[in-house]
Amino acid sequence: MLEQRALSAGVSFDAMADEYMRELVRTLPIDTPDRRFALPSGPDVFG
Amino acid sequence: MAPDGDVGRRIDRTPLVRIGATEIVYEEIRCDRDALASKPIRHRGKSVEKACRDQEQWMFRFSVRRAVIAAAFAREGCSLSEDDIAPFRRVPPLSEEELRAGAERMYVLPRALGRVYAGEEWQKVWEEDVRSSGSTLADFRASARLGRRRTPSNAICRRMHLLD
Repeated sequence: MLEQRALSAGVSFDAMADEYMRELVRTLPIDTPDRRFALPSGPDVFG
Repeated sequence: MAPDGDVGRRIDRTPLVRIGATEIVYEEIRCDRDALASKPIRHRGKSVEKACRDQEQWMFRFSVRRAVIAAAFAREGCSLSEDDIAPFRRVPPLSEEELRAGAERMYVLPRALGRVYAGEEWQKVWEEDVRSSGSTLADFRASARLGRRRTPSNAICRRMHLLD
């Protein structure tokens, strides 16, 4: 699925996977009732 | 709630974050302070509290990443099969004998450096413990210099000397 999207968009699989995960994180409901710990951000969330 | 001793300890299910359908509670990432305190080499000069806090932050991030990946799987309706996972498994798995032999090889240098730190001669230790591994005396001495720069290795050698 991601391979096909990457091919269609003319980008690498890794770039498409990063974009997919960024979009996913943007749309995911994330609730932090306790803020003792810092959420990973940006590429860190996929590392 | 701040966790204390493990015996009779109350399980801390305080929710830290909810990501999609996944909830991460404190208990999942909790650092065992007593266990860490009993192993100074694992907190490497940090206070137990700071080391535990760092460990919990690392575990928290790990759990968040796992939850995000689970959310991606749920959204796409996919799952990993054994065939997907197989290339990432160690093939073939090490036998117990191979594992022991590998561990013994890794132990040669720290054990030898421990003897030197304890006052034995470089040459004698090299001949008895190191030469059979294929390392030259110069390599052996160079590894000690590396050990001095790298605090954890140095600490291991010193601890071994204390344990001998």
